[in-house]
Amino acid sequence: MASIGKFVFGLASGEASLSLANINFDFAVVKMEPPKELLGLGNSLSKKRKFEAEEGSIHATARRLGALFAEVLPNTPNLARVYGIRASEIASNPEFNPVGKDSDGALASHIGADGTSIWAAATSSKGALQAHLLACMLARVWSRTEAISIWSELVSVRKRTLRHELQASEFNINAVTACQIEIRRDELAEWDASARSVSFSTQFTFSLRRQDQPRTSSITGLILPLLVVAYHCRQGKNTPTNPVNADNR
Amino acid sequence: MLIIDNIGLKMPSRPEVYEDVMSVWTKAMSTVDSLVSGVAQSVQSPEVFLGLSAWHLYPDMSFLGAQTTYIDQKDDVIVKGGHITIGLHSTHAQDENGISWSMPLACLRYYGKPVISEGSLSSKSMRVPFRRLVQIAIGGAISGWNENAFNIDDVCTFFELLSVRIDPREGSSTGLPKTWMAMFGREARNCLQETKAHRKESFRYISLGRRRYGSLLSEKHPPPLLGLEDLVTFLGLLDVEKQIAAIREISITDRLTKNMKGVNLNGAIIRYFPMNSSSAEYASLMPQSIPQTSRKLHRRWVVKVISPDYKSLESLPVLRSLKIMHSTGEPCGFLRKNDIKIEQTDADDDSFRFLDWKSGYPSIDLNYLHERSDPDDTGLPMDKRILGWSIGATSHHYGNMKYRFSFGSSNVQVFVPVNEWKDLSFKLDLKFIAQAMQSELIDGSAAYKYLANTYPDRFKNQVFLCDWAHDYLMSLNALYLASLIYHGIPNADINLSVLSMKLHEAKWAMSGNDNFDWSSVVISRARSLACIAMFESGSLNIGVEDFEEVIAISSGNSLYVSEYLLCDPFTAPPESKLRCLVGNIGKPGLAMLLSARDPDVREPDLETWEMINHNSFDGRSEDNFESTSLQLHLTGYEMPLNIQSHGVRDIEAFYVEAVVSVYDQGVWVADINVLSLYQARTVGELGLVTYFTNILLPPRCPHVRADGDNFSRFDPITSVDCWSEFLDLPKNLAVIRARRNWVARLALATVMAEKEKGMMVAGETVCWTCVEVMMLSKGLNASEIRILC
Repeated sequence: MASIGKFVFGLASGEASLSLANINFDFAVVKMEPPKELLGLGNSLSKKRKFEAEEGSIHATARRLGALFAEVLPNTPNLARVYGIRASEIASNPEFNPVGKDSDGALASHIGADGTSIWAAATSSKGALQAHLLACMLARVWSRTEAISIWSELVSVRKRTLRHELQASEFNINAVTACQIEIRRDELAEWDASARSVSFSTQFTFSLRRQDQPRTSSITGLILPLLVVAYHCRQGKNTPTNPVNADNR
Repeated sequence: MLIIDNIGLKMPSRPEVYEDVMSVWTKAMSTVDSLVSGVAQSVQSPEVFLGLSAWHLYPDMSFLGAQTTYIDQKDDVIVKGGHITIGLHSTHAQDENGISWSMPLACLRYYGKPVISEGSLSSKSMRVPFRRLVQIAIGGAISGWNENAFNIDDVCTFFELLSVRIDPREGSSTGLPKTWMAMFGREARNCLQETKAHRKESFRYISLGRRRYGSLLSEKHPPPLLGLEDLVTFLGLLDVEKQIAAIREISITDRLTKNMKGVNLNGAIIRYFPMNSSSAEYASLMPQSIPQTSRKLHRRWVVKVISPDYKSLESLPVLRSLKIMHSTGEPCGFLRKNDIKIEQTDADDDSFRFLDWKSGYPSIDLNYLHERSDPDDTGLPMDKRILGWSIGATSHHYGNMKYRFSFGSSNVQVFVPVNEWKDLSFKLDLKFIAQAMQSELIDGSAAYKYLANTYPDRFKNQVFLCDWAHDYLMSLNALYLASLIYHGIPNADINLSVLSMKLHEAKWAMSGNDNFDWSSVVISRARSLACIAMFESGSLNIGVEDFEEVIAISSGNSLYVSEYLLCDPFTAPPESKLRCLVGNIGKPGLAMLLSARDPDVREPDLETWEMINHNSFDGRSEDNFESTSLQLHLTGYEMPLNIQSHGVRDIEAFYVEAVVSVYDQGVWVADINVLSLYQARTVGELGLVTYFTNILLPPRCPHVRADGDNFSRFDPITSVDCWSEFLDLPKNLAVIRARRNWVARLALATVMAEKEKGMMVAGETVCWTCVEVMMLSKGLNASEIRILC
């Protein structure tokens, strides 16, 4: 957030004569240094996808979403770091993220995990990475069309709020730029689709972890205790309603 | 994910989507942020679980209960100390729906009030291998089986037995299953043979289906045990003798007789009609004591007509009784025709009366029969036969009593004395049916007809599974078809959202033909793709005809590509063969890739003429097209598929036109449409239709090597060793050399197929005798021949 703020301000002050109402900030041209945890992911992306993520429309979408929401989101550096490590870890696994080979023929450049939205987010701003994290969450619960309409509503309500703030309080350069942002529905669809394809690699993550750590090998191993919990919950009367009380007894 | 399945949580609901999402977003991020930095968190809210699941983070967890359970997930990106504690009061005992979230979505449609939508994170939003769906379907199929479905081990054994009994080849075969029964049977066997932990996992899927997804197959299910719970249905699968055995078994089996409580079957008798006979025979239901031996025995009686023409008519029942005694080992006596009188009662004919059955018919002496029976043939000692008749004539308790039908089938019926008759309805259970299959009581081919016939011929009163629930059977057949398709792409996953669909409504599984034989169904590329579109999206039901021109599907993180695009033309892949690759074309939703029509080819130009050598062929086979590459581009043409209602903002599926371009050292040479290569049907000189495979030289031939290698008979032969030479082919026989380079060979063959009628595709070596044979058979001139090798 901070970096965006500085950046935007720098640009605006350099062209002070420009009418503020007409600021047309082309988000597509800006490229940021990605966090180092995500470099692994960047290196494993196909040339075509990397180009898309750095220069294509999804980059602009990431940047616009970041700019819109950065101010209202908490600072989460640890999460960003850990997610970066995990994403790079997944991307380095050939099972999940294979590299296009000769045997893939005409499709070689389309092979591999679709990490474009992560990389687009990583090369734009922190807010954008957080927007990617939300995209992953929404993709988990909502269907494609539902997720797109949630995004669409988020964007329009956020812009309305910004405009409202502009009228009510003192001038804020970030808000001026942000409330002029337009994100088309097909761009949101693309944003969702990319996050969706990454987010659905759960089985992969399970299998990856299984190979590495045989002790947590079976999923059943994780489930069993939960069944016990569920059982207790159903029983009702035997279970303390508050875990704190349970500890104090 | 299954952990989350066990936690029934609902997102706190707020009236506005914006506030709702922002709160979930910030809460999940800030909690997980401190969690991963090593600060333990006590979690009561679903947002955090959703975040962890979406971001692939696996912190250690402890569950507070009567006993605290700690799960060590060993996720090393999380700083030590960062674990979550789940308090019991946060796990509301909901209906195991994972995490659910509902919101009024205003932007879903162009016009109208916000649509209240509910999403959830549970096993239903998972992607799983196809076999898990089969497991869920097994669960769905048994969802109405009541107590018969309690023990999944038994259910698996049941299905395994079923498939083995119906198709004895199934037991050992490693090929594709032939029917839905075999599909279930094989999956059941897999489950039973898995290690304990894996089996438990499989059983979880089966019980998930049993609990919730009976509707996957149809709303209406047949009675439990595929309808075999019903006695008449079950007996329909048995021949007469086995029906008798089964009915006797039922009458003494504890579990079943419990259902018959209060009914005394000791006085009951079986009346049956042997195959192709309208004269009734009688058999005991319970074994009986007789004076001749201390053992209890079953007994039979055949009816003997008293007639003036004593000798000729009497011989038939006598032979019949011998046959019965021989085949069953039960003594068989005689009844005089006028002993038995069938009385018409009230409205039905389900009762009769033995007027006088005290004496039966006197035993027959051996002398009378001497000439007609062959003692060696019967296998029974002489005295035993006489004994059989004598026993048959000894007293029994079916006196002058009126009997009423109790249970049985159209040709084997149990009658009980009227005064002991009670209305009894009982159902067969899983153990009994399994036993009946194990002991080979059930007739395999009859069972096959019962279970598989979709539009059976009607005769007699026979009932078929499809009569109970046609949709149910159609769903099983659709699933079977899908299993064949997914068998070819074992690395593909399916989207479990498909569980909310009904399989029998799947357009790709519709045959359009009442007498569709599911065991020999031909799967086309279009059918496979339509099927995949449904299982990939979990919601799209698209007709097969919409996929005729489609060569690949891109959805999520998967590309389903026709093998045509991925292999050497010489291998002539089956039309239906697909490959599943990790990747996508970067389009949201389900993109159906159309192969562009009328592709363009570079014209031979003046600047490249210098590169054209057109050397004489030296007999060597080599690859001179190493720098050829293929690249798939989107042309920009997109067309939504009209499959949903108007007014919806986002399109789920659309056609995307793609073209495969051929590059030589990075320079464009041509575009190709591989479908045109494989679908090419050219009419040759002799008016013969040439299919793709007709341009392939035989991979193996009987010709002598020295003859086959002799190409001088075709001189002059020109070798074509680069794209410039290829685009400007010579006027005589040409050999295009791209040995073992499938990419170049695919490109060359496809470009050539458009314009060269004399094209022949060879394997690694060319047998010139075969070339000659093909030339003559097609009526070609030697100068028209272009050989790709």
